[in-house]
Amino acid sequence: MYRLFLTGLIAVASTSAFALDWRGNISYELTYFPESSVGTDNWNFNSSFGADVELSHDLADNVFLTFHPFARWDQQDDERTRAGARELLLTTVGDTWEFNAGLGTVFWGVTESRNPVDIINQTDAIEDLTGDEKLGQVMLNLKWFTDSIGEFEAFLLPRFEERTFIGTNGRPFPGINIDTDLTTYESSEAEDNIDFALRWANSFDAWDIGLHYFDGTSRDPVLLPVVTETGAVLAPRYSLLRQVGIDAQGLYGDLAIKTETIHQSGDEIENHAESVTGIEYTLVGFLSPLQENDKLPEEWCTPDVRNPFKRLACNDRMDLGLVLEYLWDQRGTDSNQLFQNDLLAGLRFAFNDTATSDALFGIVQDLDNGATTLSIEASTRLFDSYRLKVFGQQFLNTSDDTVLNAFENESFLQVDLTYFY
Amino acid sequence: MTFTSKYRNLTAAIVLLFAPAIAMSQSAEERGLAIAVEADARDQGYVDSSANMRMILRNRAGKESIRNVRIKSLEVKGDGDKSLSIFDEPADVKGTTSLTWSHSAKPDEQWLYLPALKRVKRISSKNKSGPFMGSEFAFEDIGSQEVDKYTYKYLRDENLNGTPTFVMERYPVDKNSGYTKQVVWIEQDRYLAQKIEFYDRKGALLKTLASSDFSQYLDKFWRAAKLEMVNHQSGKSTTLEFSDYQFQTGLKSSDFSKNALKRQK
Repeated sequence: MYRLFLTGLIAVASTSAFALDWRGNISYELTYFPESSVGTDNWNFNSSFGADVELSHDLADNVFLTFHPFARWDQQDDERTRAGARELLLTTVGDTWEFNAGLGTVFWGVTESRNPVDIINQTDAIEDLTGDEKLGQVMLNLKWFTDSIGEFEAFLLPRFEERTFIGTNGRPFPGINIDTDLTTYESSEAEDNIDFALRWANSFDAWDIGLHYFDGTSRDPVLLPVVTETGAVLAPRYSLLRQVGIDAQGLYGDLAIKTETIHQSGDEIENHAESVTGIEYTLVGFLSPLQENDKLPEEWCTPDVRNPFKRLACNDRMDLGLVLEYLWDQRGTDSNQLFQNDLLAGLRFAFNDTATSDALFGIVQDLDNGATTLSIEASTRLFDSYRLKVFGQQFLNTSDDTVLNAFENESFLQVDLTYFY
Repeated sequence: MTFTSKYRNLTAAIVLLFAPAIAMSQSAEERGLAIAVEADARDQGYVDSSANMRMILRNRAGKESIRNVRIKSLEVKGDGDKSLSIFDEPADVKGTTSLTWSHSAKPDEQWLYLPALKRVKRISSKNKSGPFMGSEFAFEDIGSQEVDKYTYKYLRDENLNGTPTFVMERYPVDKNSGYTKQVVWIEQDRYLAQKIEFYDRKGALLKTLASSDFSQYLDKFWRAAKLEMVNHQSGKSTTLEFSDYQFQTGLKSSDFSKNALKRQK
């Protein structure tokens, strides 16, 4: 039925005379792991090519179709070599409502480090090591907008998507193989359990607030140790749960206050709360007071200066964002997610230059056992249509952390060059 | 381009009724304000507009980079305008859309839609002095120019390239502005800003904006097809070229909502 519906959508799209819009990219990524892995394969370099295109097609006034296929080839990890669709969605809009049917992607959330409220789509954990990439979710979604009491939406989610995991040859290797052939579900309907969700969101002056309710299969599996003929592996187990949550952001000039808090309950899981709460404070043109208050020799800041240090000191266009977030899980170390009592501190540089360059330096520390992840994410535009991105993570002091322990030798640096069209 | 309506009506009434009488006794500040109010009044009633904007960024060596943005505006009675900017180029930001609700009495509200993340992000509108897309235009230069965002002082009449103009200074009210003052040359006949000089926080000349190639739409609304901003301190410049201006195309308030950000094409 589902396949028939998708085939129907494509057929309708291909016969329509309305305009087609697209945005797409082709990327090459090189990842370097300086240390040897405890995994089965001892490689240090990985090459990967990816392609993405998002097509949008007007079928009629206020009716359109979005199709977002993707493909990836990976040198080392067979699980990453694949093709699929993240979106194949039919959208109809009116003045006060919107209806979506098909495979879609929805983002909920406001915080930087982790988004506990973002429960509609499954994480595509192998596509992108930052964890931002999502798998498409089959949905029927109705939204209703009002001027006075905010926006309401309802979701019917008839088919569950399993989380993707790094393959036997992939890195960063989690220490033990995760075998998705051994996946089990609490629901007797398994992946055909029908989930549903409701959300309300509104703005109150400086504050944007959202509330949601979700009833269905957890997107975060519990990984259970299983002994097979080939040795010990982890088997994902997806429990049923009910989740209520709030996401809120208050904007006071250059200060943003953010929180995402959820409560989950179910027969198989421990009833508990999780939250991420923090601030982001932006120092606009943070070096400009140096020039304004005559702290710099005047000859440094003339256009002819080539010395990069002097040029940087005279850069009055650069913004600096200070990010601080506390991540908490009521279950403590019994949690099936990593961040139960952790702190994120980050520095975000926006260069505001022609190449729209940016850099984010972050440190996440587990306050219970001291395990620390340092990360850098930086990007700049090259030759008008390319973007060069550098992403690296260094795992430190991991010996007392049961999960991060396995990542001791998995620190990496990734360079990605993407052509956009 | 609006102004708290009560205030505007009152000021306009004073200017109109007593114009001959007060010409002698009007202070430089009053005369500057009157010119700004008149310029604003002449642009009332456009309802909505859309245009294509091409930005050409040039560094000191003359190397160019291009941005293409489609802009849509909606006039809001009694408050600031609503506007949408849809980025088409450079390709890595294609589909990124910003929505601004400008206000006359309270701070503007601003949202950004990031298509790769499917994320609508509310952003601070306090950052007025920051560069728009890496260009020599600051956010405050391209935002809605409302009368009460400045105080004014008339300086003199002057011929600019053979055209009679009023020359006045205006001072940003917002303490987050990147400028201490602007000197504006306003054409006497049509009340159009032909040239603006921007002075930085140290009071030094920073940039000059020249507007040209004005066309009139619907027999009322004048728009420049070309804006040239030169930064005297860095040697960089940015040209904005506008094309396909359209007015009263039937844009609705719902097109300028957060929810509509995702489906702008």
